Amino acid sequence: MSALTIDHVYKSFKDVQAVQDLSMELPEGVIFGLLGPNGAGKTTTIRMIMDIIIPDKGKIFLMGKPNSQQVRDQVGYLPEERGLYRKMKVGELLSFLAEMKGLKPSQSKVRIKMWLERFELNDWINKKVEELSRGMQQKIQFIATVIHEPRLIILDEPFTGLDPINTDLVKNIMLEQKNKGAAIIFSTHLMDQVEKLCDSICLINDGKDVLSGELRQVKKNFGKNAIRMEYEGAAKFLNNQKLVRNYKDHGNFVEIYAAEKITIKQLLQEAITEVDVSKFEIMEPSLHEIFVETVKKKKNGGKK
Amino acid sequence: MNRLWTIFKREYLTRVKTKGFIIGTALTPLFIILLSIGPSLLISLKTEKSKQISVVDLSGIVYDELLNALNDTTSSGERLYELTRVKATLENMDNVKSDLSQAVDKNEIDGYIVIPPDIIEENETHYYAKSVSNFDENRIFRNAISQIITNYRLEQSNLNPELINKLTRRINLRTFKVAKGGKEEEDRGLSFIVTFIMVMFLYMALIMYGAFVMRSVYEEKLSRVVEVLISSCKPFQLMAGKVLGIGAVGLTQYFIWAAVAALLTIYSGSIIQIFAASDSGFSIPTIPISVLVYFVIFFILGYLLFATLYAALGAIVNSDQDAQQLQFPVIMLIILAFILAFHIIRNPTSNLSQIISMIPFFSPITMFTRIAVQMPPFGEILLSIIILVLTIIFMIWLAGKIFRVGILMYGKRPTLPELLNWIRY
Repeated sequence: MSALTIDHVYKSFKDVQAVQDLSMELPEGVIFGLLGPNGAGKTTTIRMIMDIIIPDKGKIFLMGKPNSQQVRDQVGYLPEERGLYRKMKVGELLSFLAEMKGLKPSQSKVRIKMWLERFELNDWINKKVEELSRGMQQKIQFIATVIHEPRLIILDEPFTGLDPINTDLVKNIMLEQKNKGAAIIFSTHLMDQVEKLCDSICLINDGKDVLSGELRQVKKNFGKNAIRMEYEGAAKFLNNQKLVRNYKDHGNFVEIYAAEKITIKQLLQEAITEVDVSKFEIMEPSLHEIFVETVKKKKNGGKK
Repeated sequence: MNRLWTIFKREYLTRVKTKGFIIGTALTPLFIILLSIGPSLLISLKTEKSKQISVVDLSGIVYDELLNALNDTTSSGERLYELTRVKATLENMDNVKSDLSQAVDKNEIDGYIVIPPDIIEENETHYYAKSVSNFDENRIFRNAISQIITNYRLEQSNLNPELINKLTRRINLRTFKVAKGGKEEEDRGLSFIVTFIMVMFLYMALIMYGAFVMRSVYEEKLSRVVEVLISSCKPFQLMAGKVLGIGAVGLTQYFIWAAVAALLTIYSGSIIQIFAASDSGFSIPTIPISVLVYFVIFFILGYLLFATLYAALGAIVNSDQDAQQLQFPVIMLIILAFILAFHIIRNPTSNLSQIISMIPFFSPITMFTRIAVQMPPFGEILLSIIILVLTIIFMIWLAGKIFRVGILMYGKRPTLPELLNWIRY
């Protein structure tokens, strides 16, 4: 069964088309990267999933059912804009937020203790939220997101403000929840995190799905594999537009993107005539590259 | 419904548990008790130290009489005003005066009174002291000397002062309120005070608890807590939970105060004996049960009306300044109702009173004032309540619409046309 189905959804605000013909299918036990530049329509999409705003057209199903209080109780949502009641005590706050998700106080008490221990925050249970550091508050909010063991977890930029240790902790919890069968929607601008964690992605731009599918497939389809070359000498051929579409000098090595119709073999032949090649390796395109390329292409297309 | 209860509970408990609530609830009755019995308490307190007053009587007719007239005593039974006669003539007057002023400055005496030789014609006398702002004391001196001079003048005209006083005695007007069923009850102006206090309470409650709702909404909005809440419940549940939760806090506070008032009424006799002079004529007036019931009804209805309005405003707000600006017109509305209530206290049956007690944003205060002053026909009360309830239903609908959109709109404050757009959504 799919945790989330978005079926040809449209939403516009006044004269802005925020989301346009968006469709998604999210099976259980999958981490799904929802990507896109700022203002692409990610938050609008998430808000529609949470039934905060209603689509103009199209349907959204959670766990195969139309949106309702009951179904939404199985969703955990960590918004990008974080906020907690500053004057409440940590324990009371978590208990309140758990109750808002339908958890009984007797149930939440045990879980709050367990989660606070896991994040090493158990000494803070009777402290007011305003006494906590920003990072601690982030962790509290993350606990509130997963405390009711949701089957669909929506995380909007979950790592901002966390140190590397806690980032790893959150990452582990994400994988753990995935293995338990939860579906996770993960929205972020950190492409390397997406590459490490996500099974599938959807890249939206101007409210439209511009690239989606399984991460491996997306990379394969992108086609333009980069070449990593370590060498010594003056590589003039890199500036030959007929051979090389683009390249990036990383200092220790260059990342080369071949021009269209140029095979890797041709490129290698050209290279060894000019420089001493010590390493020549075909790399998968980075998601970063794919993101930038795809969004740029659309922009230029739009201008024409 | 479940979620509404969760929100209600949080709003209620987090507020009732605050120090502000506990202190406010405890201090307000104390404050009112002090206000009501404090003055009589203060008056009954006698000054401990007697005052040294020198009198320069150039007319020669005042001093002896003054000695008799100023016979107030201190708490230890001594004369409050120790008078000393200072001899002087018109010629050495300036020297005597400067000597006396020196004495006042050195705290050797508290003050001195100069009675000019022509006081009968000039009608003027002078009092010198470090502090002359004690109106009570000034009044005592003025009255005493006035009386002496008046009596002197009457005697000079061969009239008997005692007889004159007897003949010109003032008439005392006692007032009786005719209640339902023609029952008469003596009223010493206390019914005005009671009405005033109750209307004041209503007025304060509408402003205070309304502002609480507004603050609660916009704090959630600005701290972005609302995003999580709204993903767990309907915006309407959030708004309703808040309005009802804070309203319940208000009712709790009133209930506690009512209980204190009831206790005071029961034990009023003994309390007054402890605190106030027994002859001060002070008694806690009884309020008819029907007026109390209407007080609760109009508090609840008025609160619902203004709280929903405030909730909608809170959703629009994007900063503290916004909040203050938007609050202003609503507060003006309540103040206007309060001012109109004064007209009603004076003219409870005028056409204007009838009209303003029907207008929904005024009626919680104005109709209640009419009820407290002079019970209007039941039909009019009912009509006022029906209009009010219909307005509340409309306001809840309207506020719900504005709240839903506004709560997630950050950035600049919406203009009126934008607001209308939200309502159409």
